[in-house]
Amino acid sequence: MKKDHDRYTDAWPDRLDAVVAGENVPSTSDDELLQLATRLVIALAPLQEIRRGAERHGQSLPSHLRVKYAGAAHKRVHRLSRLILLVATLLLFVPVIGIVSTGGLAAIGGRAAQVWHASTSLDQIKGLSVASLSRPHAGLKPLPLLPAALPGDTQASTYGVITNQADPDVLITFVADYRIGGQDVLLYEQPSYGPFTSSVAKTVRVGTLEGQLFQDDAGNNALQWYQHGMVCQITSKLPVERLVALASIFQPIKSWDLIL
Amino acid sequence: MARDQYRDFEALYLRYYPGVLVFLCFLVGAHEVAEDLASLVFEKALIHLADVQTPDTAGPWLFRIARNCAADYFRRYKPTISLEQLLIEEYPQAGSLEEIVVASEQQRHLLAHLGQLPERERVVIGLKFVANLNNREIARVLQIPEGTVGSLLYRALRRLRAALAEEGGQDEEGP
Repeated sequence: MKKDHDRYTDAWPDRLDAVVAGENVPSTSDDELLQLATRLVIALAPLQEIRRGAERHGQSLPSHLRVKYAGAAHKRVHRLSRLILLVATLLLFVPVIGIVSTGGLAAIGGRAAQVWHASTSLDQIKGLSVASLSRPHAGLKPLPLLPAALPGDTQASTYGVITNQADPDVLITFVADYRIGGQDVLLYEQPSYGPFTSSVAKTVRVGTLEGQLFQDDAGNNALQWYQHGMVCQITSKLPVERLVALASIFQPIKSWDLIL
Repeated sequence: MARDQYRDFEALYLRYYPGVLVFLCFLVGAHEVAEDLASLVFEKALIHLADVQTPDTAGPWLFRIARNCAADYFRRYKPTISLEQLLIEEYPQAGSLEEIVVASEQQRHLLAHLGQLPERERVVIGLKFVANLNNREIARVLQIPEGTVGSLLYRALRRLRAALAEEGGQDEEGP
């Protein structure tokens, strides 16, 4: 042991800095702690690979932070409270459910085109416009989320988007209606700068995320969670386990081929 | 919000995200969790952007948020730190099989003991060895005098050495 060298002096921090920076490799006569520091530098070196990887890929602000930034700006300008936003969401949700549910059934009958005619009635909601997904939304922001794969017993699907009237690429609401295992499954998404929380909901795990489960006496399950800057909700009479499994594989749309 | 404020935030992100990410990797021992927490750090930073008074305080402020996010994560999920698994199994070193086995075993012990250090000492080691902050920046993160950082690092390394020595002693006494 070299206890004689093992003393804290004013110079010690500088010697440690040199070791950490790789400018100095301590000899065997050096402080044991500096030798241990060298071992630590080596052991932790792979983390610097992760850092370099992040430096290579991080050339601009990621989309979820851009959305958050826009949300923060909006918040600052209009001072909207979360409660108001939630109420607005729920008010918007009711008519959208009706129209898109009809669309889901129409799709089963091969009358998908009529869904869009029905959807255009949303134009009457002041300040909103309806964008048909009959054209690719390459520039839509933020991107809606969809399951990476639909269950094998999916029978039909329909989609709808409401975008900002002034900028048709700014998403306000995304809805989808599936027919899975003989049940309707309604998906609803809205950009948000945080999850909506409710004291009456049960907390459930959705993959690595935390979700909220709402249930009623009629057997309806509504699973809500927050992911990639979006509040997402799926509602169905399907068992909760199936909804959780579906929600766990949601990801931002990577290819519009999935829904066109 | 002014355009240059957006650019300031973007510049902050580009400058500090890699360091914050690896610091969180070090604290939580899982790359994916660290990515989620790093996103959370910048979301929180965005909300409190006005709190940044000068550019040189921004980095320490972000690392302080990162430390708090990691602490919240541990409080909520009580995970086991698996830094050994992240560093040794996912990033194996080059060399002969024997060299790799020996080096891996030594590093496994070192990293395991590192994970057992008190949170404050693990944080100071992470800030120094992983985030590559200087002592002045570390002092701002931990909100302690700059002179205390050196002694804190010294104490952390001593504790680590003692743990390794104790383990070595136990090995020698074994059958």
